[in-house]
Amino acid sequence: MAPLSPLRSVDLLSNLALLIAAACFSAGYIRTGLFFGAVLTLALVLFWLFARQRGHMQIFTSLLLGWTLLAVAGMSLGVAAFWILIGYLGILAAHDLEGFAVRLQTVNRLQDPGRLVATHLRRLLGVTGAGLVLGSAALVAGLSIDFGSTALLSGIVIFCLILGIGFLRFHREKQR
Amino acid sequence: MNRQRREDALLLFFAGLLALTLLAGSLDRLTLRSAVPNDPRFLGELLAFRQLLLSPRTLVLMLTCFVPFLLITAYLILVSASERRRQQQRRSLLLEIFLWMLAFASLRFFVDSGLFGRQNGGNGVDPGLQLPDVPEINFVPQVSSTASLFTGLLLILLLIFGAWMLWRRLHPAPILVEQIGSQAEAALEELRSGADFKNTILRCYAEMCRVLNQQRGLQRDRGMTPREFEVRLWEAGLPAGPVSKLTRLFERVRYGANQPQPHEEREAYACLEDIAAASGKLE
Repeated sequence: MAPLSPLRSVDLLSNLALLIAAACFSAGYIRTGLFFGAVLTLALVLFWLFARQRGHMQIFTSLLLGWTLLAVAGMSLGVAAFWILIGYLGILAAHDLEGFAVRLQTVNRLQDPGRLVATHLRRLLGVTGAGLVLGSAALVAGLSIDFGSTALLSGIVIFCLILGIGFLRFHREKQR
Repeated sequence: MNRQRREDALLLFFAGLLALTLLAGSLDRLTLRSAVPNDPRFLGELLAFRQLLLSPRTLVLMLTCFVPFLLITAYLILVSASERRRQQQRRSLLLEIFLWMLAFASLRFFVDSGLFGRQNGGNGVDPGLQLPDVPEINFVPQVSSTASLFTGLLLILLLIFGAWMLWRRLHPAPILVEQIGSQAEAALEELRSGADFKNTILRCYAEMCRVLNQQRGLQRDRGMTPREFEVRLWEAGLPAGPVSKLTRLFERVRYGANQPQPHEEREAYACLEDIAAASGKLE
């Protein structure tokens, strides 16, 4: 059996992530007795496949917003957070892989595409794993803090994430 | 990025993620109560504070704090020799005026919204008035939920704006030669990864024009030839040899019908490396 090309393997993983997301969202909604959620999930998957056929990243980004709204609605309607968390991580991974596949297709010549794909997948795995751990911790923790501490934490989140991401992006651009 | 800066950035990032996790884990148990206290003595102090905020003295104080900043900025604009610096100072002046108006509007909003007491109940309150005997006060909060939402959003926007300003201050735009070197390195990276050579050269050249315009206020007029622009690049401190070679290559790619030959590709590659090395960024 011939080995998969890097682009083909990215496509397969993207499909797998989309499948996991769709399965988790549908399962979560159906277990709660909300069948319309499963229908909406199916509609989003169909739109996703349609967008892939057209190859527009903007459509994927709009659809990501749709998945986000579905996740928020699910949490509000009492769908188990576990399904939403796994499903949302899946759709984030699928979105990232779709974008990566589009960029791979647009580059004419690559010296070592296999290594590039492997590096990207390692990073994606790390980020998804961290998201799973932190998301689970947030769901399990159930902390009780007062309004002042909440406001302080919000300020820290805004400052640290903006400055941290800004530093990293700025220096990465300079390094390029 | 050097090791220290990378560690600082990662530390900030992880601190933000940790805070976000704690915040996410606590939001569902957060209970929101009215921000207006029921203690009658504290209410009296709030009413007195409201009177102080509304007084002409406060307005004069705010103006006194603001006017020196305004005058200093105006003076700097007048005496500044560089057009780029004048532009920055004009922006600073606009920002100062905007911030002062925002501060004044916020103050009026908070006072008028009734956060510091009822609009009609504030006059003639003696700060020393003894109120502990009042058994119960049936206080109706004056701030609507819309006003609270608006204020919260405003505060979040101000926080984001403050973080952005802090980041800009901590990280001023790199000097011209560094930026040009960065663009050259980006173009090199594209070449290594197999991007279209012709487009890479055109993009690199266009980026250089843009950076010169941004950093030095030098606009490449429609009538300016690549050769004239080459002189500008020398003036910016870039090495003459590679810049000249790259300019010739640009001319051939831009105005010639033929595709670049392999030896031209190698030549351009070397020029870009030299330009990047000149900025001290290529190891």
